[in-house]
Amino acid sequence: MLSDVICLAVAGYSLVRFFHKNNQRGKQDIVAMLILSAIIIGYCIPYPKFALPTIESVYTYLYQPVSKYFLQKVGL
Amino acid sequence: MIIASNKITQGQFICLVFSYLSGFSTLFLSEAKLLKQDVWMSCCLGMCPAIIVVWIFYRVQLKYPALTMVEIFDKLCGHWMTKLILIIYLVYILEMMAAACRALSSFYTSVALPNMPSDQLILLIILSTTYATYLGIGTIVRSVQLTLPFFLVGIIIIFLFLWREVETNPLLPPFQHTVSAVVYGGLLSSYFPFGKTVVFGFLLSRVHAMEKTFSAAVKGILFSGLYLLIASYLTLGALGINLAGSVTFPFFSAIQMVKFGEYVERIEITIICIWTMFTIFEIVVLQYVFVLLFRHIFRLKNAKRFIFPIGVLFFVIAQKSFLRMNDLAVYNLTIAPFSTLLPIIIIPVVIGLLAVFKGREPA
Repeated sequence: MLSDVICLAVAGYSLVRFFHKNNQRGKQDIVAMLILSAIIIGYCIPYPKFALPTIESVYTYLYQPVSKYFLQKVGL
Repeated sequence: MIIASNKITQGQFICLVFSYLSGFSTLFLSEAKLLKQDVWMSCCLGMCPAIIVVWIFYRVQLKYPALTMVEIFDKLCGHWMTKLILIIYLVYILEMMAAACRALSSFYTSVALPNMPSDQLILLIILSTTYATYLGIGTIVRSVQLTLPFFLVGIIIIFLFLWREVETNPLLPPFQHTVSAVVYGGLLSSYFPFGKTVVFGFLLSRVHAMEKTFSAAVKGILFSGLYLLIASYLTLGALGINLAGSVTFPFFSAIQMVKFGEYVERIEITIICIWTMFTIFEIVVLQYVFVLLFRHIFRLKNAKRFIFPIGVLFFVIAQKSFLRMNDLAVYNLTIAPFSTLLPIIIIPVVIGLLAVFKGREPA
């Protein structure tokens, strides 16, 4: 519920910012805001299948083989 | 270029480093669970890389005193490589922040507020850290200075009362673990809590009398190490090695034993309040550095407008990460010591080497 509200609020806020500030602020500001909003929305999507992976899950995928190998070598 | 205002003093820097590192370093005591009586070795081993990394950043900063650390990165690595490095640090900060938020919310839902949803606790934490970030580094360090004496008095009283529960030296007999186990314990300590010091590399230019920042940072690290060691000693001594290794929050279980006279009990609640504030300071520092790096990556003119959206990002990531308490414990023990090696050791060493080699080039 909270995620859905945040998702909608951020989507609306970023769109308003994009159209409102487009002529007043630097291009970098708009790009930064859009990227930030896209990431937030990506995490808040109500369908978990399409949501962005967490840092925890990405790092677990990347480093688990290294960790397993190391822990096996040191006998822990 | 560095802005002359908004600088912090050496004393404030020591307080900030200490409170940042000591936040919830004693919450899980993973090294104590792993190494038991040999925990002091992992603590000493863990402090060494942190001190070396601070020294590298300090030397690099001294070499370019007129630039901030991110500008030095630009100078040494080039524009695009700097962006990539800073993104790695942003991910590192998000990882540490998510772990801190989840640890704090899990702790509260486990021992103090069982009916409070974790998400709401995380939301409250992030709202307060976002406001603190908005107020700036000067306000953050003054708050730390204000809180630290209460923490020190409280924790010294708790330590003294806990000392009575220790009947035999829990650090004896020493050297009961293999070298590899001790090295792994050192790796755990260097990831958490001491490796977190790396973010202070980005704040060195904000400290007055730059030539003394290294000794100030080392003092903060050593005080934090001392606090961690005393907490481990008392926990192992008061609970016993086996019980300390099996409970989720060993230090908390130990301080629950403290009581004054026959009637004043549950004194640990006072400490938990100050403890919580220190963990929040940790998240505040992380969020503040995140904003600095984010501003540099996108060359933002005014980063203040991004503080609230960054707070929302912190909230959604913390909300989605480490959904079960066990996930956090396993991640801290097996994945994070390896995943954080790049930002906390490898990148600073590379930056140090680049600074040395670039310095040899003719002007």
